[in-house]
Amino acid sequence: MGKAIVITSGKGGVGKTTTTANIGAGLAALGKQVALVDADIGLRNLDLFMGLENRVVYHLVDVIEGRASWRKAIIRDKRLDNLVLLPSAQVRDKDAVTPEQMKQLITELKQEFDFVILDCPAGIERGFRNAIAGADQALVVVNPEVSSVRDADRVIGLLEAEEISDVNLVINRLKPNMVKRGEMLAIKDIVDLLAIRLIGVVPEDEKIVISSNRGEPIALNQTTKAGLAFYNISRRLLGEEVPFEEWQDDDTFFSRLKKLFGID
Amino acid sequence: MPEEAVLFKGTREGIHIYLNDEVEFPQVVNSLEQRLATSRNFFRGARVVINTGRRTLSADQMATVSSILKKYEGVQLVRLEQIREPEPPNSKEMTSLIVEKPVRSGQQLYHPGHIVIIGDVNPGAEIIAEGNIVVMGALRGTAHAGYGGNRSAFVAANIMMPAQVSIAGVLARRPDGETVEAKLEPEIARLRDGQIIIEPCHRINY
Repeated sequence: MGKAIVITSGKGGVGKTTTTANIGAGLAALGKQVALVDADIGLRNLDLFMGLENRVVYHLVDVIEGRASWRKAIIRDKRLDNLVLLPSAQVRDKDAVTPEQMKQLITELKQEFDFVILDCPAGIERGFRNAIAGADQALVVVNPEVSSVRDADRVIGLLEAEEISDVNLVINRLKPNMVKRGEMLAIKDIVDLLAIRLIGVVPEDEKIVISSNRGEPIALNQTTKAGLAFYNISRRLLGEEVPFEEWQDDDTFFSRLKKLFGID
Repeated sequence: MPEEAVLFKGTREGIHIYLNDEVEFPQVVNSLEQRLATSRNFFRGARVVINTGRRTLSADQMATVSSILKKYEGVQLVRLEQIREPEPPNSKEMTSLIVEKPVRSGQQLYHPGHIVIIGDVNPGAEIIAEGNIVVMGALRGTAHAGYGGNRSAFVAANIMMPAQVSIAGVLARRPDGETVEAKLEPEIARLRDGQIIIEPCHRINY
């Protein structure tokens, strides 16, 4: 029996879909059988991030309503054989599905896959209820901004109320230089406030935009900072002890110069 | 139908006169004069108890009432009665609700007694207690102590950084613009002279 992990945040635009795609790709690269489920019904995105948009034939609502079996609806990844995507419907909305139906579907998927990763929509309404219905574990994605942290706090409370107690934190889009200047919330402040386990910190990386637009999860390219961060989150999810990456922004001329002279 | 301004009731003690507290006082006085005038004989030598309901009579109002009664021979005012508002429950008799996890944004806690939180109260969370609130952690949300009118209630926290604090309906909020650094010592908010005062717990004078 596999494990279902929901990727959620409350606030929109913090990187839920990016995180879903990359952690899924990371787990698959580590040899696990992984199913990604796009639970954002009506706003289909995950297929784009995976570069699979033109292969979508059946979708989640088709499966729920019995027009296709999930085996028929899933799309196999181009790069990794052990990674599949169950896309969401673009033409239906969140009310087309109930939490009970989602739970049933996730239970079936867990029989076949080691990990079922659910991409949750923004908000805390019906779509959120659907996405968390079958989840055993949650990853809450925050950006180092007060509004994002506030919404994450609300979501953690709702997850606890649904008795999903294994909740982990991903801090996404950290800009080390801004934190250093005190212009962004520090990692410690966020973790102190939310009081859940930190499983990864992903720095802001322009390469993410490029990889998302190309439909190539960056976690498969561990030479990038963000790619390595996502890959390491996947490893931590498997129980590996991976030390946190150091995100000193050492790309500036001066810091390189300092390093050269051993000042830093 | 409007309620009667004045009601008479005979008891063993004498005649109870109820002055309706929901009717304007001058109207009550008019009505009292009329009723007494129409039943002049009935009141001769009567012992009278005046009940003013929830209204507290001022000295002037009291004088008006007694001067009316004096017009009638032998009428004796025995007593003045008033319905007392029930006292707010003594905070010592209240029960305590103990919460052993953080209270998060969007969560609201209400207890008709004291609330003790072992953990933080995060921004966007709300705690409402009829008694005291004690936060063994950081208070960053909103806390209402003495809900229902207990003016001696307090809010205490290890780290006092609330968005708002209110005691018995008196509200204080964090000043705008200032980035208040949290004091790393327990502080207590109390009501003093109608204002909320926050001070370190260890310096408090009882």
